[in-house]
Amino acid sequence: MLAYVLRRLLQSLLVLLGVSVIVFGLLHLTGDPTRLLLPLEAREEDVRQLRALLGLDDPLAVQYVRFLSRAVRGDFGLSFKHQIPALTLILQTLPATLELTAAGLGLALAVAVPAGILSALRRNSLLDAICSVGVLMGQAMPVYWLGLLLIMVFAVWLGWFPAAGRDGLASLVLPATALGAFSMARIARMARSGMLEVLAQDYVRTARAAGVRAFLVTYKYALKNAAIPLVTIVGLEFGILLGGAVITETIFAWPGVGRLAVDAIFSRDYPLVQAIVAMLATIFVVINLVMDLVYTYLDPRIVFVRSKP
Amino acid sequence: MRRAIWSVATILVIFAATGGVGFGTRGQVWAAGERDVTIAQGIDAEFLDVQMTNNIVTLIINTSIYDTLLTRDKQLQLVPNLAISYKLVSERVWEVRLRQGVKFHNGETFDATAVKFSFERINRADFKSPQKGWFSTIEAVEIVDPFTVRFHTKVPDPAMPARMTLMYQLAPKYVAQVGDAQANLKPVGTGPFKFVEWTKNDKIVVEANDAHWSGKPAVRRATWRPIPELGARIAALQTGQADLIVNVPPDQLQALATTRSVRVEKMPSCRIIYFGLAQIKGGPIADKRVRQAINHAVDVQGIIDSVLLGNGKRINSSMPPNVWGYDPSIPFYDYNPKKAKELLAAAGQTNIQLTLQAPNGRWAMDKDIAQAVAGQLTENGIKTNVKIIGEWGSYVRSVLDHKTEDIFMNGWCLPSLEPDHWVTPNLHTGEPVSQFSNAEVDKLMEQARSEMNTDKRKQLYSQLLRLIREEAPWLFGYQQMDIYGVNNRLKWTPRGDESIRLTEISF
Repeated sequence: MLAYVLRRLLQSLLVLLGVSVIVFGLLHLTGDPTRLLLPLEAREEDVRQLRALLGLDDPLAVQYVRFLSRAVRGDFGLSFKHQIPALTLILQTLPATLELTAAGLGLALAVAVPAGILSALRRNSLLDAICSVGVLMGQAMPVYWLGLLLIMVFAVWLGWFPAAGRDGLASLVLPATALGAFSMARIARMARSGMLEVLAQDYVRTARAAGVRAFLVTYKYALKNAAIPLVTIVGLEFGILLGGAVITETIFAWPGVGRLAVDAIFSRDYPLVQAIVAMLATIFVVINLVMDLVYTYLDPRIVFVRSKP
Repeated sequence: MRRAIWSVATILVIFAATGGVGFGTRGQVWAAGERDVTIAQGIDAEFLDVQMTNNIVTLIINTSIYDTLLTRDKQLQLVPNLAISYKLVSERVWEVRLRQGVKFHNGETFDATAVKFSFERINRADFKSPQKGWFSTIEAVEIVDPFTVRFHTKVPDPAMPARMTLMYQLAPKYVAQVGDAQANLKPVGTGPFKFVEWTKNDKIVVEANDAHWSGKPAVRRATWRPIPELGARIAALQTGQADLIVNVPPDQLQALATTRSVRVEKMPSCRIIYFGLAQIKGGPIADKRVRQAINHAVDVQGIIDSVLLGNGKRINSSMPPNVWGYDPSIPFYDYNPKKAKELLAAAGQTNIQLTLQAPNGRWAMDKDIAQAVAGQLTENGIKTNVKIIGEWGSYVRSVLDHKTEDIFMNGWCLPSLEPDHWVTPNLHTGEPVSQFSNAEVDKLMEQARSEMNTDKRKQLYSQLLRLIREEAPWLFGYQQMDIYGVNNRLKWTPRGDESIRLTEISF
């Protein structure tokens, strides 16, 4: 087990290194940021001076090594645009994003898992049909559109929630709903099909035949096994939601990393983009690792052995 | 089935419960007092170290915290601020008398040392200020006495008073003590409002500085909110979360009209929108007659009326009417397709194919306007394709690298309101934005830029703007209309320089 964890950690480091090379390369392909940092009417002389100050005159390889050697020590440099350490900016905005993502996922799970199970138990009933339509709508609606719709109905017409900003629990509801809708649909579908598959298993039939109460069969024996594919999807969804937060944060003026990232990309703020990508990649990799470990807990039959040639 | 009903009921209860959290919060969400205001713009401030920015939105926010030496009143006329008077001592020396008894928010006294410090800080080699270019004509600041300074310029510079409206004053001891980084996060100025807090991308809060030399502001506390998405910004106004929102596009005015508690305020802006004709690129557009033909082939007023629903004013040359030096007697190009065809025939260019580049979402209805322009050009014998470059960074690069298409859309406004800043950066040979070169135009610009006699200077600008009209380096567009949504509890009207002064708001 320990060897497996170590091996996975090493792999994760390689993934992060790869990510850093790609991001660094792509960013520098997008062109010189000094032009965007200075006013349109700035003279060539000012541009040259700023470029030197930002260290952009050095060869690319030198810049990359400098970036990497600082990054491993947690120093991603000063944001070009804000002149504040990139990491500080991220740490300021990350809590808002994590809060939104967790709320979105929590809401998705809270609605999707019971809905999925219910429609599996009442297959082909009216309830199942309603859930299926809900799933279809959830997957078909773009976050952007859903977000604006939620604002119109729940902020402007009903006045229940604020339209934008981050001020307490009330302001979290609309963005979390918009963000969670897509995942909600996917999780509900997975829960339904997983549950259907398990319910058709021999041991479920046997348990029922032996007179075990239906409630116990469903929630103790069937659900635990149906949960395994759900764990995978939840891990993946968290990553997807982190990415999806970019749009949701923009619509609802949520002060998170997603908006910071969009601004950073548009203003070619190299250090900030690199730091954000590194941070998100790390979170993603760690979640995947944790999910893999959770499997072994849920299903002891899943063991990690070194593959033999 | 009963279980299903129970489950649905449970879900509904959860929804109702979460709804209960928000219920009743309408209008109180950002808990404002009666004399507090919340202003929503599209972006957050880049810096609260005012000397680190040239961004208009950022400057607007900073203007509540910092004072400048001079400023402009509602009619955009120069008026005293921290400087109470100025005079020319010789052609290259300006003497400025400073207001006495002014204190920074930290208690430090404002005097000549602060002026010298603030100027020299911008020019510090390791200080990455984008404002260096604004003051590049100034050689040095000399302290005459604690409340008198002299600016020595490198060349005769009639724009000095306009430059003084951009000289924001910082507290020397405070900045020295806390350093540049901290001065940005906890700004200290002499302005009518004191800094309270800044949560990046969420809000900036300031509170009234009752000790301000101009008196107590009516607004007690102001919150600047960045809400990038237009729909959310409008919703924030409609729900009472925001009292004042910016950049309402003309096609959304209808939506605002349905809310009784809000009104729309409009003001012709200092920003002009033009279509640059890339003369230096060569090809048919290098011919003056083709450029004139383009100006005759587009019904600019018609486009303003149909696309912008009348929210814009034509410009006759390269300056808007609210900038000093504008000459109203210069005629507009008339919409005359026949004349356009004649000019094209005279130039031997009857079969032209051009490309017009435009951004998407930078200025109100920009893409739609570009398409309308291209449509009319094509209709009138100048085949024009539209190329939309949605990402602003790439757009700017094409302009600055002088690699635009034949026609490029551009918008222009600099906070100085100095006439030279409308012509030189856009049209002088070799300037980054300029895709035009004409020795006569260059010479007139240089003369006007350094002419110290006001009457003569005005004459030079008139001559210059006439020549620019004749040379047609642009398809002359329009002066933008700034449109705001305002809660009726606010007494406020907009300014022509895109600025929002909290001191001009009352209830």
